[in-house]
Amino acid sequence: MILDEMLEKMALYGQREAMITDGESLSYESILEQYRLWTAILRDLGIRSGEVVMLEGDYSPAASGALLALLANGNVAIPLSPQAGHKREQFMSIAQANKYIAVTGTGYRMADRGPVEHPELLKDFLSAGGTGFILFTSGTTGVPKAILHDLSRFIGRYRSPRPALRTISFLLFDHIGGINTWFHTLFNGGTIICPSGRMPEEICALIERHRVELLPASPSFLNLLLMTGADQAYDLSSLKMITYGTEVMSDSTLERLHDRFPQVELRQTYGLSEMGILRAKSVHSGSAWLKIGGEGVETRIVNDVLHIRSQTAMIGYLNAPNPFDEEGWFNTQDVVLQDGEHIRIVGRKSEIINVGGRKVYPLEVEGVLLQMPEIRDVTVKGEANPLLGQVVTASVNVNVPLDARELKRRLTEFCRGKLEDFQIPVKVAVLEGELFSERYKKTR
Amino acid sequence: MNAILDERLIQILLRNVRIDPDSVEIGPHTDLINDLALDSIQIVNLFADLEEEFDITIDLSDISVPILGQFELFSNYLAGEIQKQPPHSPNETGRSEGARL
Repeated sequence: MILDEMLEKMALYGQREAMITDGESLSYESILEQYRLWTAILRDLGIRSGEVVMLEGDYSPAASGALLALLANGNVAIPLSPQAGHKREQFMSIAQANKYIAVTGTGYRMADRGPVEHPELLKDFLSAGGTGFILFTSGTTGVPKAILHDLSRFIGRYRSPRPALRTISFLLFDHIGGINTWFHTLFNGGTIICPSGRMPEEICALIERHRVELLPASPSFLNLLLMTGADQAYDLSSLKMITYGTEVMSDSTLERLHDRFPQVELRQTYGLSEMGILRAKSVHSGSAWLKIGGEGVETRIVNDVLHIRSQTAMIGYLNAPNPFDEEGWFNTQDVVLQDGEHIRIVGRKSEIINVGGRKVYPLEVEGVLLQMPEIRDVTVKGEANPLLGQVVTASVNVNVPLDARELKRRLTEFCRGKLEDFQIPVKVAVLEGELFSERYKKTR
Repeated sequence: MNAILDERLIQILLRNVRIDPDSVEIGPHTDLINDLALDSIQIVNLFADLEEEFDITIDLSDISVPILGQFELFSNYLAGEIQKQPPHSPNETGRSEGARL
């Protein structure tokens, strides 16, 4: 079994530093000790192979040991980060989980949900002896979708040895990017540095203190980092690479990032909860153009939308129709520009605004608005309009006190010559709260 | 016609047109589309600004007269919409003062 291969590799890494949490350094052997401890705990709790178990915890030796033990025990695990604790019941209900385990600072809590009736796809998967895990989409526009992954299919991609760096586990434990960080780093003998908070100041302090080499983050976080200037008080010279994915990066943020960290390689990643993280190669550091591929991955573009066929794709949704066509292609809903073998992602199909038949890409407008000194952050989206179908609106965080009327006047003036008339926001709202979620992803 | 309202409407109109404000004189019979060369996106912007300025909602399906054909019709329509708004209490803060005439 492929998990045995991972455990064997971890045993070979032995005393190498695997994880730093709360300032404490733990070796691969310590993580394996946790794995053995949790194997015994699962046995004592009567958790049988084929059961579906929600595991709530953040990156920690105990949560890592518990996840390894669940997968080795032949379970389907549902990782849940504490930040998503308010969705616990909803997620367990969708997947009809048998058990719930919370890894706490001092031990664990367990709850048995009694007899359950799993969704059909999950039932079939378990009947065939499947082991895997379930991730959920954010569900910002409806009920979250439960995504079932087969373990052996998913982690096949980590078998080829890759460089493993000292990596901050910035993306959450239940996010496809976070799961990818966890598998990739532990498979390859790297070190996971666990943050206790995810504000720019905390992340920068951690980079300095533990000589972090890789920061996987979202464009929203990187924008916040640049805006706060939190990096300037710390020595970030250990940083070799910043990877960004989960949402589209604006040109202006990318340029400012490149100016601020000229020595750091900026690499775009491409991943979807449904497909996992795919191999992506930027044209050069700081370029938004990239080539997506890798072993067992095929891409095609249909009507400007990227489609992917991958051997490591999910089994399917538990609570939504099968999204694959008869040939196994998955419509990513990401609209792309194409230049030879390279593509550039310009936005989700559903986010593109149609103003009287003309397309507006929120990212392009956001990129221009972010150049205004008055604007700290901005989210652009469409709003229904009886005259034009849709119009462009902007929700803005400001750097200086300004009312919406004055801001709109300045914004309209600023955008003239930089955007076409139909791209300039018709409505402008000044908001107090941040424009991104607890996962540092823009809320649209 | 309400002179104070008209003055404010003219200011908002001129903010949303591309022509030189000095080259046009807006009177009761000014045709907003042909004389001011308003296009569809400018009309949408104009309505958004009016909604913001006067704290009203412009419902296109409710408009039965060609308000963009003559400034006078436009002004009368808006005066009616502003009248429909409930009076603001003296303790209320925000834009109420600017929205009342």
